[in-house]
Amino acid sequence: MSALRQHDGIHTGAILRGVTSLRRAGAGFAYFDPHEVPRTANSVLYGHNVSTCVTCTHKPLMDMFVVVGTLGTGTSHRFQAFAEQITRDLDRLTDGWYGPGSKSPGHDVLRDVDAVLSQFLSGAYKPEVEIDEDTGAVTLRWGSASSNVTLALVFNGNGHVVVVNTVVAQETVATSKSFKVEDHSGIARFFASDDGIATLFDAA
Amino acid sequence: MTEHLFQPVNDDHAIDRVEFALTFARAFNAHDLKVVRDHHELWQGDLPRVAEPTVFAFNMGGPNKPVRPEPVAGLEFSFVRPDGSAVWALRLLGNHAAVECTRYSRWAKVWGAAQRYLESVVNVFSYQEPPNPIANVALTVVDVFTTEAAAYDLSALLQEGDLLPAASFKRGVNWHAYSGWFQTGDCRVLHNVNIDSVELPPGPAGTLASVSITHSMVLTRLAIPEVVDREADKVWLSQSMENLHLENKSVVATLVIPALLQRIGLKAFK
Repeated sequence: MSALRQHDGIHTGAILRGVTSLRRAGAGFAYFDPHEVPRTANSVLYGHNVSTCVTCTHKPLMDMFVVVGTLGTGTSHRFQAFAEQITRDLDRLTDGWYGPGSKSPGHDVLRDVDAVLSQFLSGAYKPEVEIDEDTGAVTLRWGSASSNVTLALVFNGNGHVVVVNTVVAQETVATSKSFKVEDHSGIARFFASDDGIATLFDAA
Repeated sequence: MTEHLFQPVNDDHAIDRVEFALTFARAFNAHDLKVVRDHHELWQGDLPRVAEPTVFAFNMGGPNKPVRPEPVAGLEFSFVRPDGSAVWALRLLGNHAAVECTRYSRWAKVWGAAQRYLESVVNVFSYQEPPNPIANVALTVVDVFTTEAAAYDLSALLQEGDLLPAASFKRGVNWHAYSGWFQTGDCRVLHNVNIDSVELPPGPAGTLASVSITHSMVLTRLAIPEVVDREADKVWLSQSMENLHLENKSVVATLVIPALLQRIGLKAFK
């Protein structure tokens, strides 16, 4: 289980639901409700709503990880094989995996991770996998030592994925902000603003 | 160390897929399936995709009956990979309700999820008039091992015994063995063990050989109750699956060489 390590803390988070939000996600960012993803992807597989899926789900996701990939090590991975492996490994954890009182990822967390990971394209870059031993929440994090930008997907098992973007400047984490998960409109404004995530990636 | 020539398909277990199934006394009709579909929200978060498989049954009843296909009502809920294969699927077809999982982690977690889906179906069918009792419970487990075809040595994976004739060890890479038996007691359990060994098409990892052990168990009620008690059914289902799970472990532990049992988590069964 060497791929798993302790959660090292998240400074900020943002969340937004729905395909509509994907349309306004510029600069390669996407945020979505993972429960929406499999239904949309299935539509691709079975010939319904193809244009909607390609435009609003697969393409933004692909763009997102192309962007993130340039921040990574430059090594490509067979992402679906990784996704299968990590999902299975996470599911094999039991409570107490990191010592007394530590929690394993619950069914709802794994369901959300599964829903998102299964939509990644095979060329996507492999993230680090972190588990919060207190809550069982799972974080997938992309980034590299040579970059000052990281992107993390945080799964708490509530049907949402939290997309966290962090810029590490000389002094601090810089522009970051926390939102209540139900504050969708506020989060949308954050992502659409000049000071939002798009600007952070532009700076990279 | 020949025991390392074969690798289980997963790091610490060899289970490639598993299916949990219930057979009801009579086939589902269109209304039954509509009711199940109307309750999709109960498992929609886990199994969002819905499909209605088109299946035809051929009547081969005798010279006076024409051989003609007859449609069988079916319904499938699933969570699929990008390539369309199901990670999880709940299928209702004819008089069968089955849950398939192709990403096995631990028995408690996988059966726990399958149990929720099957119990949901059992609950939904509680309304049925006339009652449609459960006739049998089935569990199928597929264990898969691979090795380089050029280094194929069956004795590094399986051992000769009641379930595997000595001739299998002399047939090279491609062979098949089948055996079946009844286990009797309070219930009757039909065991089928199919072992397939094949050379796979060349791939990135070279030319591999695969040995799969498919163990199917069907536990049949000797007396189907006239009055349906769904709560009692759920207890019976749970106990039955646990027992079949132990039977599967015992059979696989009988087939696989002791040196590999610890690797796949079955050392305690030897």
